[in-house]
Amino acid sequence: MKGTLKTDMLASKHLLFALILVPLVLLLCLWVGASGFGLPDLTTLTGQALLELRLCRLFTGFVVGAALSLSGCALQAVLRNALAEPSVLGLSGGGSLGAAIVIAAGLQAVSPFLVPSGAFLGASATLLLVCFLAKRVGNYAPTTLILIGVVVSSMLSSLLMLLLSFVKLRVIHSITWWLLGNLQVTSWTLLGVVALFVLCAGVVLFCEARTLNALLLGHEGAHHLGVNTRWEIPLILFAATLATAAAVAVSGIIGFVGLIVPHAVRRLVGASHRILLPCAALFGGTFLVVCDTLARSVIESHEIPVGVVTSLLGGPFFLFLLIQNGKRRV
Amino acid sequence: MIVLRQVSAYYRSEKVLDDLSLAIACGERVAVVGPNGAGKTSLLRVLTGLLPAHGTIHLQGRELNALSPRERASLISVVPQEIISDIPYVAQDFVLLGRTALLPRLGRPSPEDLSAVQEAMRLTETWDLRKRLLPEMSGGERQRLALAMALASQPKILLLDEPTSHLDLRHRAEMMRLLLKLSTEQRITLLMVVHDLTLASQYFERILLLSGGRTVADGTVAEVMTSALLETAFNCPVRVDTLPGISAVCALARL
Amino acid sequence: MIQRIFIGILLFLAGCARQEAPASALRLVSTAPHLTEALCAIGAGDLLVGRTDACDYPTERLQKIPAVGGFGTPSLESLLEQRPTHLVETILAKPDIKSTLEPVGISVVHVPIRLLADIPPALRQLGELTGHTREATRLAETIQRGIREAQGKQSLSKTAPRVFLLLTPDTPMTLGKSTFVSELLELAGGVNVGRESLADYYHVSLEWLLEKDPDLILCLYETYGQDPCHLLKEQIGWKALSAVRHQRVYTLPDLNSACRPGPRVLEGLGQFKTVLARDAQEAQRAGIKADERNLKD
Repeated sequence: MKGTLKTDMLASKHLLFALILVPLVLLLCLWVGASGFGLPDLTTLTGQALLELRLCRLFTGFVVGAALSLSGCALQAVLRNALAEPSVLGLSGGGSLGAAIVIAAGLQAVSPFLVPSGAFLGASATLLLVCFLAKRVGNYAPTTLILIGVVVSSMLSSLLMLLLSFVKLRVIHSITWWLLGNLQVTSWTLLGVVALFVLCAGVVLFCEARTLNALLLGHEGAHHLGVNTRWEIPLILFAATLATAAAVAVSGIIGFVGLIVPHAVRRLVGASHRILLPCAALFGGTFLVVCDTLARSVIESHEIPVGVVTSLLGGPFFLFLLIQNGKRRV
Repeated sequence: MIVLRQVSAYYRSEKVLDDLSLAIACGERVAVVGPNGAGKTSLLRVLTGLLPAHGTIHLQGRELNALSPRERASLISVVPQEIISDIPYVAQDFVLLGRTALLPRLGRPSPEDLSAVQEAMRLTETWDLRKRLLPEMSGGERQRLALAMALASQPKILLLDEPTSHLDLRHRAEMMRLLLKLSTEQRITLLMVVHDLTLASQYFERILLLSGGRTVADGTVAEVMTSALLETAFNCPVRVDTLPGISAVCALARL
Repeated sequence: MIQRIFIGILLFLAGCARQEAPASALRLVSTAPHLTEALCAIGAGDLLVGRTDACDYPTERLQKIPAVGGFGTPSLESLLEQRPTHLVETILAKPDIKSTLEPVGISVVHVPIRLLADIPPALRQLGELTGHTREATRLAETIQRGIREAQGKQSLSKTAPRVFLLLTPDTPMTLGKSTFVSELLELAGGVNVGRESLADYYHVSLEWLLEKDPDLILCLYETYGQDPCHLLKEQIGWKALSAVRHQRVYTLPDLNSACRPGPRVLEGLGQFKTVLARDAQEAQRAGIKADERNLKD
């Protein structure tokens, strides 16, 4: 029997690729600005402030992109659904409602931490609700979770619309702008807290990578392989929610990243989560930074919401994936 | 190896296993047959801990409830019926999944893990497929791979639920040949749920006939595969033709 | 057709549910806060039978008048309950409500007020409608005089501070050139840095704002008594703006009179002038020379 078994290893070429390319791309994005290509003049106060702004945005974009991608990978594995993404369990809906309530109460002006906290609590509360309902139904089976998620999501949307129907025009505008997604965070403290949450979630998910792999065979199949599904599945859901809630709290709703990045990276590095998770985080973070660089540089003085750019890029890519899949079946 | 004593199990307030007692020795091959709803799949689920049961269940002398999930998984393996084929998993990584219970959570697979995977693929004749992706394989290749995955943890007991139902004649025969080889060479206890009674008679010496959650008959092919027993269990006229090494069983249509 | 039957039934029921009102002239419903203020200012407040829920001035009088919907979004049922004769609007979310109301005898009167120049003619129009022409003309003339005076002073002033009008607390949203507030600001002697855009209100990036580096920032949102500069000083990007560093961040005491194109426009203008004057004083005290300010333009 010829040949040796090399398995479950991060191919060195992928790692090299990532370690060289990612910082390069990030650095490139730092150079791009609305006023063209080039770093701002660092001798002036304005120039230093501009650099700080760009760095902050870069960092935010990377953390949020990584968070959404990690969450997407985990949810696609647990829910055994290729279309699963962070918003499928209603987490985005809950985050939106939480943020909207804080904005409607006029508390935006009081502290920059309030809206993110509202969003975070909203998203977390939604997961608790979904899990509670799933337990009542009897199990954490993927279909159950997805159905409950869809129901909860639409209920939350209705509540959001109810709220919007009562508030002043200016508040509606504020809420809508928040919902469109925005990576301009203005507090390093907030960003630090978010990065910490995302890191914790990432670590937990990486520790659960083998379980995520085993979930390929379904919850029962994973059970047969020795996974203790009773607490490992809720743990994975909790970690995915932590990452999503932190991302939503700081940046609003940014779609497509959590859906597309896992698929794209799977095609590049394979489906084993021990490789998929770190690569998805790196790729997702970089992708979002690139999208955001486009969003803030294309039109001077106007800001395109980054969610628009991710959808414009992500949508066609998703269609491309579907067509490829269809071809393969035939 | 496997001992069940007065085991009862419920699924949503319905009694699926009723006071079942059973003893299977090491290396035995047992086919579990019976009508739908007889409790065949429930029996398998009870053995893997998916279905909570009253009564005592011992695996290799140890009580099932006392085993941690990882210990249980390294003792008993279940061959999955169907594998999702659209995720681009590499075959060798897929077989490695079978060793989840033994792999370190964070660390790399050890040389023993790798050699177990290698051995499992050798036994199932899937070594040449190791670098291929799941979606690119045929049904038969995927089924052999599923078996390899189950064997990767070097289990003492192998449970199968209708593993051959999607396979054509040739692949069915290949699968059964492999299973036979495994049980004799590796001394693995085999417990398989089968609908095809003829197939059961061909490859298994011991047949367990269940009905209504109870054991109707438990013995050799000659003892269990009689038209009288089968007719009572399946509630339809049955004809059994005994040939050397096989009992052809077919149900007669009511006129 | 079905709509007409429906309206007819509603009217009938409304009529049955209430006593007959004294046969009179006009019963007006306003669909905008500045129209409500205008009507009250010209003395036609007792003709009002319906207002929006955003109307809040003059407070005591409005308490007696029920709200029949939001800005530009009157609720048909509550509207009809008041049995108005005219609906006064400046903009309607659903313009086809006209075709529903006119057949049942409610005339929809369009009073366009968006910019400064629209206010006097609008007041005169309302004066004609309500028969309070004398008061309306008087008020319109006062306003026109005030505007002319301010325009005169504007051309005399040499230095005009560059102001950033901040609409929302968390993200830099500002007003374009052709908005009422921008006009008031420029009339009061300031320059709106956001004037390049034709849009009414739009988002700008912080980078753009940093490059423009306005002299002062005027916050046009409710700050609940808190000093907005305090929050801005902590935020990345904002804290590097010279306006924030020199603490030239201001709010207006009464946002409504400053941002609503209505009869209190001169009060609003006064607020802007007060803020700019205060800023000029403090800037002088802080020693920022006028030349420095001019150089930035």
